[in-house]
Amino acid sequence: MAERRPGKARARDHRPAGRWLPAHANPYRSERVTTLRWQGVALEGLWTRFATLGWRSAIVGPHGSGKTTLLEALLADAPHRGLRARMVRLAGAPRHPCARAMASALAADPTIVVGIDGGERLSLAGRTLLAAATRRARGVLVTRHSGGWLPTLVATATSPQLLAALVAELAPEDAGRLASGLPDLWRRHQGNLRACLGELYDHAAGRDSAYFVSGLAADI
Amino acid sequence: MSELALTPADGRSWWLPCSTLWGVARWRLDVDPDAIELRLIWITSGKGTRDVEVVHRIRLDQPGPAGDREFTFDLPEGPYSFAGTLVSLQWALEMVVEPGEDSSRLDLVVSPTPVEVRLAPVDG
Amino acid sequence: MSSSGVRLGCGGAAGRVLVSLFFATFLFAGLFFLWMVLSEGLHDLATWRWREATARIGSSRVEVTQAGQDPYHPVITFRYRIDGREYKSNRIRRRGGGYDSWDAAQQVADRYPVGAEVRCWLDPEHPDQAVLERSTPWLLMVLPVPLIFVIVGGCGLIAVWRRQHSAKQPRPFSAAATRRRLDGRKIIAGVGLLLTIGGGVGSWFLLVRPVARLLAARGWGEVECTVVSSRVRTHEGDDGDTYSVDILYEYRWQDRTYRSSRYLFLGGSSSGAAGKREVVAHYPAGSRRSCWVDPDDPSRAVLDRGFHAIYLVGLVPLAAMAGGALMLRFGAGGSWSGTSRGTEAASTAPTERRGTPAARAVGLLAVTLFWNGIVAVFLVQVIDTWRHGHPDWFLSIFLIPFVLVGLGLLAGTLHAALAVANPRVVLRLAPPAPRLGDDLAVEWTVIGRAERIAHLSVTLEGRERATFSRGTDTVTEHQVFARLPVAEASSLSVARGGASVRIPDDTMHSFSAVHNGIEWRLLVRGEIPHWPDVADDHVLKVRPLAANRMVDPRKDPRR
Repeated sequence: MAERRPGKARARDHRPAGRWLPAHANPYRSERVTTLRWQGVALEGLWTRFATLGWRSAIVGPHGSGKTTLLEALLADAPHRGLRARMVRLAGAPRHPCARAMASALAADPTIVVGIDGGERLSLAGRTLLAAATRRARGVLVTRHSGGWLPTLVATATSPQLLAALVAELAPEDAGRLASGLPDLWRRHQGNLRACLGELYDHAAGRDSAYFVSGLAADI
Repeated sequence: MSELALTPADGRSWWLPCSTLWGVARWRLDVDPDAIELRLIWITSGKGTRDVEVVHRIRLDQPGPAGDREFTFDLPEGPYSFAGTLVSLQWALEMVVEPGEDSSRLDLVVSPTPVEVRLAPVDG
Repeated sequence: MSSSGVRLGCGGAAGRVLVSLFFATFLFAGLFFLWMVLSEGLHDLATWRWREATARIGSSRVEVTQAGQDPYHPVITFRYRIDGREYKSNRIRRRGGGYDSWDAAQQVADRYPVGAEVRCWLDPEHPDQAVLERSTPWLLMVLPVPLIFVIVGGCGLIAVWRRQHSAKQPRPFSAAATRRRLDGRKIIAGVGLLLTIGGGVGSWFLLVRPVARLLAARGWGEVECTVVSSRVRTHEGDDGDTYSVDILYEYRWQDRTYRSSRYLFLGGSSSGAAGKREVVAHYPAGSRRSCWVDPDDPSRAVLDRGFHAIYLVGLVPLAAMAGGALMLRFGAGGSWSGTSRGTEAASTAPTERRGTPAARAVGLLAVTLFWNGIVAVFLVQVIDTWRHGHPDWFLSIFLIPFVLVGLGLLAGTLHAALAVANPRVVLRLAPPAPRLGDDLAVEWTVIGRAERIAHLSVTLEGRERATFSRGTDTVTEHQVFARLPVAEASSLSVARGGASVRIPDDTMHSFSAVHNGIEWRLLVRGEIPHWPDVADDHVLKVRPLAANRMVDPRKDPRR
């Protein structure tokens, strides 16, 4: 019962020779992806709707559809409206964030707008604690995969066109060459832009596999 | 017009680990800052979430709107500057003015060799 | 444009229907049993609102029926008056039933001696239906069981048909392994808790209580008894019949006659009728034998107060309790790997072994027990339908993928368990904490049956580590940048040996940050024919180049 030995080639390990890009030169590296601007509905309209919904609402959407990007854009825009903003990131945190830690992170400041990234991680108890901790906050905006708990401010969605726009922003020199492969890439990852950009990172770094025959590789 | 400049000794950009990094920091500012901080940092870059570490810092309180100041930093044994497929690490000197967002950055290579250590991938 | 690699989420509509049928089965079965339990429980509870009356006991005895699993029935008749009318009844509780031992039935009859005045309760809507004892609704405590089925079935159906926002993403095509941190600890802790509680309860009834009585019986008095009846009783079951010794005997203690059917201190039934027939043959009806009587409670007696191997069955729930406690410990706070990330800088040991075989085996066992336990419930039903000649085709086909998964898990557990018995390879390094550019000497010793290893290899590998968030998941990827063979050995030279490798001086030393890092590992692989291979990874801390080996050409006087 021989196990796979180190060095044994796997079908996915095929790599075209001579193409390697160091991490700090890769146009799809994480610090560039996290600075991508929100490219959707205008923020002005969202602020108006947020007020209409009583300053408590959710940004709803699937993985990699820009919920965090939009939340960050809105919170960055808050000072222009005389508001202060505070972000709480639950993604990567324990399943039941410590109530005390959450409460201490959230001020009882009437001008503060609290952004909660990763609201799907909150249990019923967590939501109750959050409501209590933010009862005096000016506004609460939560990102979630699905609605129901809070009214939906906006439902984020992605498209192959949006992916192409992001690629044009990150790697304008590659945008034309990759254009024909991007719709297939978007479909394979079911619209998850983060996953698409992760695969583009690998492609740029020369980490493609023999399986990856359609779209991007064919355009090389 | 504000001016911030970091000038390492001999204009060097490559430094051996465990050596002493020294040079001159110069500032010419329009307003009198509360403080200026010199920071020796390394940052990662690549597919993983960025890591940043401030290795040493020198704080100058009430430095005045203009001045020159020599600085020295003892460089640690590591980590080296390196460039991999998933991760790269770069060293830098930063000069930050408080309050405000004025800053200046000088990239360095801290490595046994004049260029960062390259980690090309191995097949399979 | 080629569409290779296009995937549908969740297997499409057909998949959803199949999965829905699975969860619907859970839901409807749960609802059915929930209704039954609730109905009976509420009826039992209702007896506590019945009218109270005074009854006089007319007769009180224990009757034996030859058929049925609980052949000993306390038969109590009583009369009572209500609203000027007299009624007669023989119901002790709302739901009747017998007992599997004479002693238990006699205990009930002893509570109602002939002529005694006792309380009875009658249904206000049916005054002719009275009982001597109101029913405690213990059945309602079982409610959580069907409720779990209802919740699982209902939530499953909702999850399948709710709009998919978090469909599982396809694995990226990158070369290096993508490792997700799979936290099965909660499942393991949950299963461990159930096993601990169940094992504890089982240990009490099957080990502690019988053994305690066995020891106490040493002080009991020996008297002669007469065997009234003697037979092997058959208990019908879905998995096949089981058998028990059923001997009724009579004895006198201090001028009073008692009866008992206790043979050993451990009741119950089991397979294997032959042994029981031998016992019964030794106690034919009408024969006189010795029995032992508790002087503090002469109604308690036993035919055989010796220790028998059957008492060892109590070790099974004890082992389950011990296993459950181990799983609880692992799940609640234990670590799967031999190390935790981030200890490289703090640890004084230069190498640390990751992922013990025992930990992997325990983890797989927990998952296998959980999965196969649920599947077995349905599988038994299916097999039963085939045995009776009316095969349930739908359920049979439906269960196939679940059974296959269960078999796969079983094979995996077996594989991991076999690996626990593998020989271990111990490494010694010189220097223990090498630097870049050092010659690293590696000595290995195989502990255990080294001759089983046909081929051994040791490899030094350097790799990058990058961690990032993808939605609510944390993903870690690796990329190997150095792979240096250290040693290869076959057959005769496997048991012990040594080799050395030069760590390159133009590469990167070990480095660890929160999300990124450089790791060096010694990979030990031992091929064992027809058996799980030895596969150990030892993390090695490689330090930076020694200061005296770094040369600054700018300081070279010759330049």
